[in-house]
Amino acid sequence: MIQAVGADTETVVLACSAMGTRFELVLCGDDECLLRSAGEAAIEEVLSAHERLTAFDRASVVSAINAAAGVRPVRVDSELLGLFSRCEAIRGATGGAFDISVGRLMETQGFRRSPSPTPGAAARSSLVIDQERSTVMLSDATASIDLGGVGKGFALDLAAGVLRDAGVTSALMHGGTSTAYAIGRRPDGERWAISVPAPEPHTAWLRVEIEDTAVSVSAACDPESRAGHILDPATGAPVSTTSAAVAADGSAADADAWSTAMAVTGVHGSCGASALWRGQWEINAGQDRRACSMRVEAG
Amino acid sequence: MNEIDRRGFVKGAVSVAGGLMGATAISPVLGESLGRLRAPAKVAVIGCGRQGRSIVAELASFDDVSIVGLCDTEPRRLEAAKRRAQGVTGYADHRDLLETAKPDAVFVATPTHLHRGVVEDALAAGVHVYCEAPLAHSAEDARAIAAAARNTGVVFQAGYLARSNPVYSLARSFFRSDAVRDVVSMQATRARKTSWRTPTRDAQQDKMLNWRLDPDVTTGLAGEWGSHQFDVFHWYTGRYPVSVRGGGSIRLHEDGRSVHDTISCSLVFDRGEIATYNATLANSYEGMYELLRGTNASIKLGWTHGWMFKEADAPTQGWEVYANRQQFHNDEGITLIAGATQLAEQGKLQDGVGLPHTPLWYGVESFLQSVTDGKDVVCSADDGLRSTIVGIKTHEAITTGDEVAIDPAELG
Repeated sequence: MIQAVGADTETVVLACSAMGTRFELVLCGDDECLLRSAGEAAIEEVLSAHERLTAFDRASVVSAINAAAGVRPVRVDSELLGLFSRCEAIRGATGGAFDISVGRLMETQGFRRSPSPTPGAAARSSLVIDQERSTVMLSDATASIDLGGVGKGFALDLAAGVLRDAGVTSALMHGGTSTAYAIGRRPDGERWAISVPAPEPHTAWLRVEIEDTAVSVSAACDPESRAGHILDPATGAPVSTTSAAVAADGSAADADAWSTAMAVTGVHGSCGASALWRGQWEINAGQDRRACSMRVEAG
Repeated sequence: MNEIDRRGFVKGAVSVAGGLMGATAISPVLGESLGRLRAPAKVAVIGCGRQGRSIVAELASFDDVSIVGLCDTEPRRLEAAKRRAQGVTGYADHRDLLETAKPDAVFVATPTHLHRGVVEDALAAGVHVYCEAPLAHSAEDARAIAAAARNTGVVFQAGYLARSNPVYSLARSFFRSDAVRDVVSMQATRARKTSWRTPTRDAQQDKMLNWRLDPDVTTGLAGEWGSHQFDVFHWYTGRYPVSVRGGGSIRLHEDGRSVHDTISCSLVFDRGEIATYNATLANSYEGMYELLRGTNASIKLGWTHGWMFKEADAPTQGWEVYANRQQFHNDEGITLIAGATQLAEQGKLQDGVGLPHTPLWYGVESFLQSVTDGKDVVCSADDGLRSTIVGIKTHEAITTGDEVAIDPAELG
């Protein structure tokens, strides 16, 4: 959904496969050796996040929590405890439109294989977090965690931290082209530009310019097939509208989560699209109102 | 002292059907001196690079363990580790940590050439030690560590993770039975496209952080990576190579380094078997695995998974009827599943493919069990010493181009 434009300076590009998709890092600077090693360290963070969060590997923390659903709490490290706590906060703020405990519901709806939308029971949030004991538990034995709506953002946040620590001041990263994170500006001084295609194929729709910010796009339906891949926790059914949601935030995890929530609830902006951002912004709508641009600065 | 409830201490232990843990028996004197620690066990991690932070993450999953200190001389690495263990005190000097935090046990994950000082100080303080492998960058340091570990009344475990891995234990039981029969050859590979370089603009810091690329202290791919896989050969066969030869070059990372980014070597055993090892930082295909070929079957091990490939003329065992199988091009492998018998009876054999915990988790678990329950150490200091020296000798062979003999007396 996101196509980076304008990054045509001398760069180091690295990539990895994680979370069922491809992560790419575009790093700019004057020391290629430093950029490459910093990028590799960032990729290590992405892969580590994948190993801890994937529900498809028995050895992951998420698999351990899911296996213990309804039985006992699972101890997790502080970094993951912070992620789960943040997810709960966003669940509350979105009225349940964002809920990571819908994993089992997503499986029954066929989200893991070919889509077979059949309205099911609404999700009941059952995540129990004990800050003092550093534990996470699913109180409902039939529930399971799915971090598809926030995992890529979490990984990008960790990667960005490593890059900044290494002294990288100009970089653009993305996970699966649906969540992107920009550090600083491009070497030519311009903000990193992201274009978000409209739900109608082959039509440029929204141009987002970002600096030290993350932007995430969630589309309720695939524009080509119209197959839904976002679940509405309230109804237990796939969201079937053709709108797309764009969220920008200083945290890629938050942007990821909020765009997922807005794909469910819809928050209408001036382009007939859902948009949510924090910080300074301005929107310029094209004459035909089919294209507009959004400049986002860190809030 | 309160006894620790072992079931509460160990989370999700995996039962091994018929697998031999191959533990090294501890001496009666050492056994008498071990007592049960009071819960929660206080542990610390010294060295907060990638491996140290991974250890912190694994420790967080154990119920009766309290991390009482983290140590690293590099502030950013220390802060990164503290993000996984909020509220834990950080130290720049391991001696301050030992004196102030007073841990029951420490995990030593510093750069390899710095292990000796930390280990000796910890053992002298009466602290149980888990030391990452290889034990040291020189035979002298490795022998000093092993000697220090032998002469104390505390637990020492070397971090060669195959020996605590349930799949590897199960596979070893097959290897040692008639299922595999006589060894034909062994091979191992580790491939990962990465520069092995830690980013820094500071020239002084560069030497400290990029010790793996420092020819003065590194044991290269053979020592840092290879020794872990050589240890599989050693543990399975009970024997060590009598000579090693090999070579290396730089295939991708022409950044001024002299340490090879790609190596290939042969470890020759006394009965003529040859174990070949290939490692590269220039390509990721095939990842990390070991393959042991026998006249009846071959065993392939991939750290979270294992398979056995039977020869067509090998006898069939009764349990093979319900075995889970996986196709690899023209070969069909029997998936090695810990606890397979029980899972098959429950109709859940497929659920048992792959390990429910990381290999590192099992290493940490086994160490903690030795500390709290007096369980035999899965990889003793002497076992760690031997595999470390084989790695050092192999690195020497690769860098000199000479065939290097390994005298059994050198292995202790």
